[in-house]
Amino acid sequence: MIIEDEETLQMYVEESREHLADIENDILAIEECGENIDEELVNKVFRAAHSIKGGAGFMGLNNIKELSHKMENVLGMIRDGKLTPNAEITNVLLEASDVLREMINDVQNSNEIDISEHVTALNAISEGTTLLGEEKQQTEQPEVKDEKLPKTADTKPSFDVEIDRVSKAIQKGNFIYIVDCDLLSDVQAKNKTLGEFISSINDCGEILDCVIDTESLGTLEIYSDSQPFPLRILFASIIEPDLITTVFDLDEGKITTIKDESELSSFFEKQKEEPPEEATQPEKKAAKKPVEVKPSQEVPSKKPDTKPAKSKPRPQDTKPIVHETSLRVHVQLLDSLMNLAGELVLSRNQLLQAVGSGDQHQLEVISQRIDMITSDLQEAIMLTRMQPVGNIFNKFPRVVRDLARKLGKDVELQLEGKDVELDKTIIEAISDPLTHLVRNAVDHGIESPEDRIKAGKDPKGTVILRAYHEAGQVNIEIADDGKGLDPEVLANKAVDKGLIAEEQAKVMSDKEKVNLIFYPGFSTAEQVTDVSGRGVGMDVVKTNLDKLGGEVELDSMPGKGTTIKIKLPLTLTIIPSLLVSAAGDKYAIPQINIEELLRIPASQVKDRIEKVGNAEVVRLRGQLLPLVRLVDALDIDRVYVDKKDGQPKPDRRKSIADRRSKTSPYFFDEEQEKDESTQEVFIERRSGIDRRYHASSAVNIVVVSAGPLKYGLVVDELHDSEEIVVKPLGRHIKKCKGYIGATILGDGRVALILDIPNIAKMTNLTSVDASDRALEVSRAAAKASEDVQSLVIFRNAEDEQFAIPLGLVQRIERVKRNDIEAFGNRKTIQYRGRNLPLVGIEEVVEVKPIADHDELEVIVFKIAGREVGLLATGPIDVIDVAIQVDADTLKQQGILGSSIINGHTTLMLDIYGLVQALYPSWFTELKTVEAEGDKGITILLAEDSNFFRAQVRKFLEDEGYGVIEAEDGLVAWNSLQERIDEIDLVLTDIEMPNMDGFALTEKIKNDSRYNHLPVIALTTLADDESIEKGKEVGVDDYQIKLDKERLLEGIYKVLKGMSLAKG
Amino acid sequence: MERKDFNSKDNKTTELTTFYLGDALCGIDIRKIQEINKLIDMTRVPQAPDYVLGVLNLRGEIVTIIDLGRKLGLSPAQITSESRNIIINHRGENVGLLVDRIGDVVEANEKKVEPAPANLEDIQGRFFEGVLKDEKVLVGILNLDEALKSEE
Repeated sequence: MIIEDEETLQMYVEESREHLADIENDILAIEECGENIDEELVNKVFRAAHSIKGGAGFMGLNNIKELSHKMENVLGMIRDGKLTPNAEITNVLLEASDVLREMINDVQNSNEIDISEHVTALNAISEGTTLLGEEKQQTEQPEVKDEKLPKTADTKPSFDVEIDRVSKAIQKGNFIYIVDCDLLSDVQAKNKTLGEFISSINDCGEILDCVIDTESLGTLEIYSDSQPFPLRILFASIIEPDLITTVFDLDEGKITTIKDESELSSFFEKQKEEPPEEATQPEKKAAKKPVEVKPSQEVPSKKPDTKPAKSKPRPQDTKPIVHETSLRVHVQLLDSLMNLAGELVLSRNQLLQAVGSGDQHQLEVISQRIDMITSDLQEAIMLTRMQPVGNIFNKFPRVVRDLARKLGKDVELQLEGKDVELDKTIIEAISDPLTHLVRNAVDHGIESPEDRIKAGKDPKGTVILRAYHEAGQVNIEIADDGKGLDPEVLANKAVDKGLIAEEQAKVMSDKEKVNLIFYPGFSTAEQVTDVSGRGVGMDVVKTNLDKLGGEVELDSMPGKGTTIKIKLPLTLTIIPSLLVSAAGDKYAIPQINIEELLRIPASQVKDRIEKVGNAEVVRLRGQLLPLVRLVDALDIDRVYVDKKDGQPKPDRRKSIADRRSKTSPYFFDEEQEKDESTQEVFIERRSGIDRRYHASSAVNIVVVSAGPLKYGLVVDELHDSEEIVVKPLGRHIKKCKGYIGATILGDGRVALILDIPNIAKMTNLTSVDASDRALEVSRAAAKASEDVQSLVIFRNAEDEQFAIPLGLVQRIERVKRNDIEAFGNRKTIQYRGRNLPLVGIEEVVEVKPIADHDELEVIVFKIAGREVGLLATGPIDVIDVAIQVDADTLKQQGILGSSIINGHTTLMLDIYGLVQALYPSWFTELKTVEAEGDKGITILLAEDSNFFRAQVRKFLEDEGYGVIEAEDGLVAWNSLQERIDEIDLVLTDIEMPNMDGFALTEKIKNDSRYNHLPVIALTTLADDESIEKGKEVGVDDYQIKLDKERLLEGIYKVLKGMSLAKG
Repeated sequence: MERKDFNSKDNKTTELTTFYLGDALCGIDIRKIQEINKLIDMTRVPQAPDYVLGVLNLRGEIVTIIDLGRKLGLSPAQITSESRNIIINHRGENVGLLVDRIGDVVEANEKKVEPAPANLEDIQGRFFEGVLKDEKVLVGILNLDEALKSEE
């Protein structure tokens, strides 16, 4: 029979849920106490079970009643010290409460659920350890077994309670009462809830049992107020019989006082004889008993083994989170909300008045007032959504206990900051990730007791779950004192799984390594247990938290433990955010993702924004930050800002190569003019590093972070910060990953709210390899495989680009064309009181003549001890590039070869060749100096770039040195061992595959056979750091690769020094 | 495909709001329509399916505007002064359907409704519940569930 009154039922369900929520932890606490029973606590659980039972009886929820009744029995025995709560008993109780919860959550079908297993287990406990009540032994006719509903519920009011419990109560000085009351007239009619009624009774005594005379209700089809709903309570209390009526608020006639046991048993017997159709009752009791009495000895030991395995995963893994449909709000809060609503109405009235009268000042006052009220209202409403994090924390003692038992570990869970409040939706959403993390801590973090003892730790592991406020966010920490994570193991595993490259792993910090655990497809469990490692693991946790705008951070000390820190926003529905625009539309970026704003002035764009591989990066305080252009991420057409009117105009070209056609049907006439200007613009842009950065436009970058990942989002404009209300997007656009929702702006337009982590994903920036560190790593890797050259890029004619190694350049001057003096073919310019000879490229090389500019650039070199200026035109730029030089196609005198730099064919200038062609006399002088050098000297040249090797070899051979070539350090080392007798000097590049110059030098200098050999390092980038490093390993001298003159001089000096030292 | 009974049980005739999609005259049960409004300022949604024109703020609610013609396989809508948004509530969410032009409200008697042909003015028959054949007009009665199915 299910009661029809939905409201009463709902009330009962809610009350029961609350009771159940406490029961679990209380049972655990009882277990903890062991023999030293905390009577108060046991009583609490007892009462909770009792209230559930009472209500269930009232509602006709027989299964619930039966189960809670059995629990109550066991708890009663614990309270009376007849049972010592051990793990087995606790297990049975916990499982029973699980089933109870399941049934409460689905009351309508609760009577269909099979609870026999739990009833049996509970009975086994209560009957296996105590003598059975005598009245039970009297009846044994095992017949009806499989009837589902009957059981205790449809028996006549007869108490199901051990007689000795009653007698014990009497011994303690209690009076025993049998109370007959009517739930309809005595409880419901007096506006009490069943819970209130029962707890009010419980306050002054102890309900030993209560039964509902369901039999008398059985025939009732229609609910009627006039019909009685009898409840019979067996009550023990110290309250005197003459006062008891006031407790129950009942007539005296309804309460029977029982003075001693004999009277009681007679009452029991009377009860049994009285109803003629009583047959069902003994049947039921008998049916239960014989089943259990016999195996009762072995049941307790067997049960815990088989059952946890079977039923444990259920409550934790598959049980859906019960999303609460109603919420408890403090009356005070409700009052303040009402107040605010009142004020709002008042202000509205004033506003209407003010608008009517057109009083500007009044309007301003009111708008201010409304602004205030709105914020207060918002805050108050937010508060109603706030719930203590304890709501989810409280389920963890159980989770930890069960898991620890299963794994044979001893783990203590400490909860801190249960009162910290979070938005309801967040609380619900973090439940799963937290469970996962807590289980991980127990499963993988905490060691077995033996291992802990070996490691000198307390065999009992500790897991701390802590919540606290910090900087407007809520932090949740899961800390364990277990074995911690080994960064090396994690890194190796990530490499094995192909998640990261080996070079990456080498340069990662320990913290970065342990955070690899969040990488998709990474699971540390050696064995996939059914407990935590399911192969999906931590990356899912991280993704879920990312969705909430949360951050996860992991810290681990091998041997000491692991701490995982989760940062969460307080709420999700109203968020502060920054408005930006891209391609003419506004977008909102949640403030929580924003680290800082960066504006790069137009003049610095080229210097600060660089390209690494295909990715653009910006230098920010010495670090490289990957850039993502919002328009690209969202795949919208780019917009450029028109120079003329400052208005954004759509850039319709699909790629730069598409020419803007004036006759294109896409263009309206008025745009044609602008078109021209844009063509210019694009020509200009072509010369830059990235055409899209117009020289006249600064770049706005929002530095955003999503967990460990940080990147720069390039937007067109930055606007205000605003608090925005997040609204969901419709079904048709749910699949767009780039947004978390939309919001309505002050002007009524809709702005999309960007999903920063997902945008990173969409543009293939993933957590680890997008970190700036990883970029540096990839950069270093690129550097190792190819030589990065610092080149000065300049032009002679407008469209011909040249390059020269930066190391050769002394300085760059700007001169006026008019200041150049020409004498015959020779040009000079006065400079600091001296004549600086000038050379033009076109004088030697077959190229177009220098552009006709009023101002020219002069690049000054020092050749053969003299300064010489090279005429050039700008823009002059210095870039670090890894180049491949083609030494054949465009080679001629003065040109070493050609290369493609930034999409332009660039000629590599041979300044020596150039100057030699014009001033051959300078070089003969030099030769005589050089001729003093020892002849027959052989140099070992280690250089991986074919181009440079060929160049340097040529220099050396021109000077008469013998050269042994080696492609890398390893080859050089091998030839050194084979041909040590021939070699007099080692010339080595620094960056080489297999073995770099430093390693080679170190080997040479540490080997007594070779340490007499001078080593000259050749470099393209003579930075201080590598010079320092070179000195440490024993490099004798540093020379810049293409600085032929100084190189030869250096070789000469070193050799000379050697011979002097010898001599 | 079976024709669905679009009429309510107690009323044999329904009123249809008609509108044009290209050359096709289509109709939606007037009771399903929340409102019809002129095209107002929309915010485009990059990366959305191509039939989504954008989102707009309809009294505090975000409404997705769909180019109905495009969704049904016609060419993209030309936005003119006659273009209108028909706001309907579909599966618990307000959706705006951009149509080329609004027609009259016509009464549709069940008897006059026939199964949809395989193709109606370039729109596939599966998008219609049926076709109303009157003396003068031929109205395709739109099957909203089919028409607004989001692509998986």
